[in-house]
Amino acid sequence: MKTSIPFSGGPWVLKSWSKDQAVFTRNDKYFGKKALLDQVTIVPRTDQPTEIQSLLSGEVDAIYPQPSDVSLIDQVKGTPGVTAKGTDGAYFEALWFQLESAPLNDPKVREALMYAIDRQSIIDTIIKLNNPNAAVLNCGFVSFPNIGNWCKDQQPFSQFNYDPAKAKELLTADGYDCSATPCTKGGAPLTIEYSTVSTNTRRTTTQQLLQAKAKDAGIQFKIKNYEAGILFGDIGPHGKFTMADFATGGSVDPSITSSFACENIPTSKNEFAGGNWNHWCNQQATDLMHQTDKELDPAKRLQLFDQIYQAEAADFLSLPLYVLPNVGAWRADKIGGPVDAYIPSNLGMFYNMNEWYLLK
Amino acid sequence: MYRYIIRRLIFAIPILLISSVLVFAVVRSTFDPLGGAAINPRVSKADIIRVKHELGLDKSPVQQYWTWLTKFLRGNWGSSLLSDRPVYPDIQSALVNTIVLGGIATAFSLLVGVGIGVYSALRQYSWFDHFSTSVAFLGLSMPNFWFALLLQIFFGVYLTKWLHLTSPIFYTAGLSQPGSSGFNLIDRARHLVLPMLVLSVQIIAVYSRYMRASMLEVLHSDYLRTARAKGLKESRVIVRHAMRNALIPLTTQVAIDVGAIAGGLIITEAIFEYPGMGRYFVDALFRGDYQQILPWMMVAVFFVIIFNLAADILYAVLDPRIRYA
Repeated sequence: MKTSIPFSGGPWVLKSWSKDQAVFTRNDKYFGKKALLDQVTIVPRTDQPTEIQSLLSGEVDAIYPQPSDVSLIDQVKGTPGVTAKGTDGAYFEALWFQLESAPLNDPKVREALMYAIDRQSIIDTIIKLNNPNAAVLNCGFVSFPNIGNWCKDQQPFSQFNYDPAKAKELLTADGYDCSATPCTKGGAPLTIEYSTVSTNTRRTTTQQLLQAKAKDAGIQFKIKNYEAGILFGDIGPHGKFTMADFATGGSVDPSITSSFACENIPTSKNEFAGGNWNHWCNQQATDLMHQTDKELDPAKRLQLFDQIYQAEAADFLSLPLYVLPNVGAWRADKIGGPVDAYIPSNLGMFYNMNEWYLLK
Repeated sequence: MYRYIIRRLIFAIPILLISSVLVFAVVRSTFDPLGGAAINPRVSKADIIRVKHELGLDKSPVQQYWTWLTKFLRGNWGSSLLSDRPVYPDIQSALVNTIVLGGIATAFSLLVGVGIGVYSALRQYSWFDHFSTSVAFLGLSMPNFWFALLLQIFFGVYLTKWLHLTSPIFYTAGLSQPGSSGFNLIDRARHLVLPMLVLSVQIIAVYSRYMRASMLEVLHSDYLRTARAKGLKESRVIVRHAMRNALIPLTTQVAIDVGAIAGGLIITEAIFEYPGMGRYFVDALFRGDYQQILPWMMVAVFFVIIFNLAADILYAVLDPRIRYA
């Protein structure tokens, strides 16, 4: 980063920047609400337990960590003066299917899989730790219940509730023998490779939970996890996965063409740069996506999106899990103001720091 | 001796080259620096292809490696692929930080480890010997990430709460207090204590065991009996004759350990957010930024080679019976 040019981010001026800290001072020339604090320093804490200890020990005054499989709210509860809040965020967590990878290249297996995933148990066991109001996500890809109106009319994935008996029924109709676990076809067991980021404990705990539940539906998950760099840099773009758990960001006014249109399937021709890691090619849906990108009327766009969302569910594209919670914690004994106002937004907790102030 | 040193240094060149080729091949075949952008719906395919071209990532791996190597040999360490920051100043500062932490931890561990080892050997099978042996095995078997977390929680959270402090006695992360500028010795020391303790526990355990074994071997040798028979004071016998010889194997071990420090104290630095070589490497590796990783690797391998050579030379200096041709 070039530091010779003074950089202003609205109410703040970047005074100095290094890999160890970024120091912001008040921008006295800002046209809007001027910052109440003289200076704010942002420091990196890549290890989550260290990040939390830093807050509890008073080394830092606010943190905005990735939600894990432990409750931030419970962790800070014992320390007087420290407060935490968890709400829905702006990332769409899902089980992503690679539709050309066996056995998920068989739509019947995908349909059975939709009923073999106990999404409610993930919410109750893991997600509610950091967002007490969390619920199963049933919106189309990639829309949110609380961002815009894109998930208001219909929730196409609400039909897929955990039902191991139904999953077995579907597999039996597809020629599988489900008299034992896992189901088999031609003697081969029904095994699905399930990948995620190996260092993300929320996701690896989810895996263990779902693995046990899927067994009751006659499906065996084979866990194969990767470092984030490998999963997102190699495995995903090259389609070398079968089912993977990760999140993708959404926006107030979505376009999903780059993620789901036929021409965006990564291939050697496009140097594996396409974003359609699902390898989903539904020409009718692709045409609708192109129309959404040209349509300016929000009501008409919503109608087009609803048709795409229906197609996603009908093709068993993937399975939405939950809105990734946003969690934040801060020293309420040191800083005041609307500290938690932006925790739910995709702008992030620190967006309104200019309205924060020191209590003493 | 000089010819031996020069020969060893010449042998270091192919080792450095082979290491760099291997690291480059592994990094480029497993990590895509633009992988994260591919799942961002706001980044178009055309943009990714354009940026790949700008960064030279669309060239063949051989061309990419050759471009990097020729620049490096001309003293141009290059810039990070993703941040465009020059690599040299970042590696320099990371190396200094790691050497400070590793150096202090090694010096402290040597002092304590040698002391414990010598005293245990002199009082073999005493309660102190049994106690220090047990503690050494505990130190060796304790995972350092777990010990680090215990220290963070105790010093950072509980002690701060019990003593009603506004900031902890020893900081749990970083190199200096957020917002501070310039060098402050006390602040730096308060940040160094916990990572140093974590590193030292295992080193002390190893060095004390080495020293004890080495001392016991020397204490039963004929020349010590001769020294005592000549009427030398016991303290002189121990310090001048026993300890000096017993230190030889430990000295070479320390030289090798110090060389490995440049490669980074990866776990400790990651837990304490310490901006050293280990954290630099992990950050660069997870981004697939080979422009950062290759110079880092050259420095790390260079240090290992130099300190291995130093260990060999020290061995010859301390033991006159050994001569290198």
